[in-house]
Amino acid sequence: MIDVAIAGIGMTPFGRFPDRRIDVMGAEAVADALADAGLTTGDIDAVWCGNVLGGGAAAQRSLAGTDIEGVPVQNLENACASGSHAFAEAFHAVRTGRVRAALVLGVESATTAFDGGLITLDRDDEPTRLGLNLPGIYAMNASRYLAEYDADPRALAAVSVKNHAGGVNNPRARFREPVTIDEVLASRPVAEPLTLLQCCANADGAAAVVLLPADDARPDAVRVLGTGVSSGFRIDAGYDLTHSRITATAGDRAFADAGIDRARVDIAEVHDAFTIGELIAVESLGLAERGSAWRMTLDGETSPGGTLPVNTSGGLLSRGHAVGASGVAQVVELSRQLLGESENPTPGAGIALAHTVGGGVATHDGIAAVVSLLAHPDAVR
Amino acid sequence: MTGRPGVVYATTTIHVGLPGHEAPYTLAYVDVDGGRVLAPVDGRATVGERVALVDDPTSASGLVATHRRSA
Repeated sequence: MIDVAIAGIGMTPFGRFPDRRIDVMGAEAVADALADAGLTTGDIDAVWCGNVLGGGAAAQRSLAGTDIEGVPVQNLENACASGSHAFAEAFHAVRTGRVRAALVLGVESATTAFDGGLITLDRDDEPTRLGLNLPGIYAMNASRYLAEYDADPRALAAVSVKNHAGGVNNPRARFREPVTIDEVLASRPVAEPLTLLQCCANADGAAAVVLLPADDARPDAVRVLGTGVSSGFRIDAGYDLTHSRITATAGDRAFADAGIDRARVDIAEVHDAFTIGELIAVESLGLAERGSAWRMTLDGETSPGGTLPVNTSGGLLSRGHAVGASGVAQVVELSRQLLGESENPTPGAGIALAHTVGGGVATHDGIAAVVSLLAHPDAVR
Repeated sequence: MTGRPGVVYATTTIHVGLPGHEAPYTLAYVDVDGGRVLAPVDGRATVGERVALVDDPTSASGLVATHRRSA
C-alpha cells in the first residue's frame, strides 16, 4: 500500500453568505488547495465531493469555475458525514494506487436552506412524527448522560465556552465572540437540557484538500494513516444512549486501518453539533474513560494545553456547520495544527483524529460516522 | 384507565419543535417489559421516573406516557 500525504489544503471562511453560491465557494477552496500543493488543475486525477443541500452535482458545478474537466467525479451525500466520507474514499483510492492525485471538496450553502437556525429532520419515521427533532435526539443523550454519571450540567456549557474560545482567533469561524458558562446556560432552551448556545448554527463555506502519494509530496506533508466508516445502529431496548455505537465502530475501524494505538492521539476535532455530542464522541472513540469526559472538560483537559485538546479550531459550535463541508474543514484545521500553522497552536502534536457523525434517521443512532487519523511525518518515522 | 408500567430511560422537553407540534412538548424513551418505547409525555418527566404507557389515538405511536397512577 502507498503512504498518502495531504499535499495541499484550502478553505473559505465559514459564515452566513447568502450571496455566495456553492460553485463560487467550491472553486475558491479548490484553487487554494491546488496552490498550496503547488499543483495545477491538470494534475488532478479524480475528485470526491461532499454536499447535502445543493441539489446535486455540487462537484461539477464547483469545478466549472476551474480548469478541471473530464476526470472521474463522485458526489457523495451522507448527511453531516458527507465531506469526511468523501475524504475517506479519496484516501483509499490513492492508497491503493487507483489514482495518483485526488481532490477532496466539501461545499455547502446551508444558511438559506433552512428556515430555522438549526438542522431539522425531513423524514417520515415515527420518532419524527412524534416531534423528535435533531436537537431532541441529542437532548435525549444528554439527559441520560447527566443522570447516569451524576454529571454537572455546567460541563455541557463548558464545551460551548471552550469551542467558542477557539473561534475567537480563527478567521475561518462564523462566531468569534467568547461566551461564558452563565451565558450559555441562560440562552434560550432548545431541547432540555440543551440551550441555544449548545447547538451549532448552520454555515456556508467550502474546504478542499489534495491527496498525493507521500513520495510525491513535500517531505513535511501531513500523512493520512487510516480511516473508518460506519452506518447507524437501531436504537432498541438495549441501546445505551450514553455511548455512540456508530462512532465507536467507525473509530475501531480507523485505528485498525491506521495500525496505531488510540493512546497516541494528541488532538482531535470531533462532531460537536451539540455540546453533548463532543463528550460522548470523546468517550466512544476511546480517548477518555466512559463517564469521564464531562469532568475532563470542566478541568480544562480538553482545552488547548490540556492532555487532549479537542476542537481547538472552535469546532462546529463556533465555525458553524456547513453540513457537507464540515468533515473536510476538520481535516484542514487538523493539518494546520500538525504543521504548526494553527491560530490556537498545540505544540508538539503528532497524531490527530477527525470525527464526524451524520444524523437524521431518528430510529437509528446516525446515518454515517467517519473517523480519520492524520500524523505529522515525524510521528510515524 | 389502565396502562403498562414503565421507567423513563431518557427524556427531553422540546422548546423549538417541529412544525405541527405545539412547543414546549415532552418526549421520553420509556423502558417497559421487554422493550423501549418513544412516547409523548403528559407533563414533564425525569430520568428514572415511573410512568404508565396508556393508549392514545392522537399520538403518532398510539401511546402516551402518563404520571397518573391508575394502572
